[in-house]
Amino acid sequence: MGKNQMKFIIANNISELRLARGMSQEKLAAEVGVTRATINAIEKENYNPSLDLAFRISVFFEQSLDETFTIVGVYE
Amino acid sequence: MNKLDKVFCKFVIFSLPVLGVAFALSYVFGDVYLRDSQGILGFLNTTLGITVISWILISLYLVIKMIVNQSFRDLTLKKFIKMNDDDERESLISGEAAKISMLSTFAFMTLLLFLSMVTVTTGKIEGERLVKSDKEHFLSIGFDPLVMGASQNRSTDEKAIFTYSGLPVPTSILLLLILSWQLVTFHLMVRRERRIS
Repeated sequence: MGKNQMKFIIANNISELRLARGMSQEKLAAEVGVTRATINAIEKENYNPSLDLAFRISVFFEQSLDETFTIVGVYE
Repeated sequence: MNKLDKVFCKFVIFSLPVLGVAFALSYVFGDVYLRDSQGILGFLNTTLGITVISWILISLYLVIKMIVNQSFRDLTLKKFIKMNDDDERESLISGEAAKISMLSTFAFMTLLLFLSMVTVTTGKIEGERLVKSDKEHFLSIGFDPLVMGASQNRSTDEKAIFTYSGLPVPTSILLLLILSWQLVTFHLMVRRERRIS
């Protein structure tokens, strides 16, 4: 795989942040303008959100982007 | 979508059973008998006839509107195939499913094109050629792209037992098959993509 085709494994702490605020997935989804299924997929790290959505989530939790999302590896 | 179009869409969908009854009656009694019938059957024939004509005209209007009006087309087809692209992940899933569905339909139609052009003939070898040859039967596979029946012109020493030339399916069934194929593959792919992501 070429360097420009690298796919990152991105971890996030959305689940912890959400539970710390006592929020449901539905509530967070409504706040950032997506469906509950999308929040669930992001929390399970099955789906990497777009930059726009990633910023919306980070801004909602009053964190910087790299505090919410972290690169933990590269797909082989 | 305006109110009139909503009513038209509902009419086209919900009058389908009525169309079924109309075609069943026509099949059972025959058009001529129904046309000349009186009483309840005559009234039923007139009512169903008006419904069928209305259905055809409204369908024609909706199909033309779907071709020329992009927002109407998107809204109607999204509802029809239950496409849900409320957010970026759903859009991605719908896009992936549409791509796979389009490519599989393309492959399916290529197969149908091939099957519509190929001719297969099996038969017996007769006469003088049977004496010269050590074989009694023949199998010939060929192409007839223009479906002109040229490959069916066999020599007098060959008697065809089975001939396959072109798809033995009516055009309407073929189109229905392609439509169904596209819908089914799209929905299966959406389900698969949802499971993955």
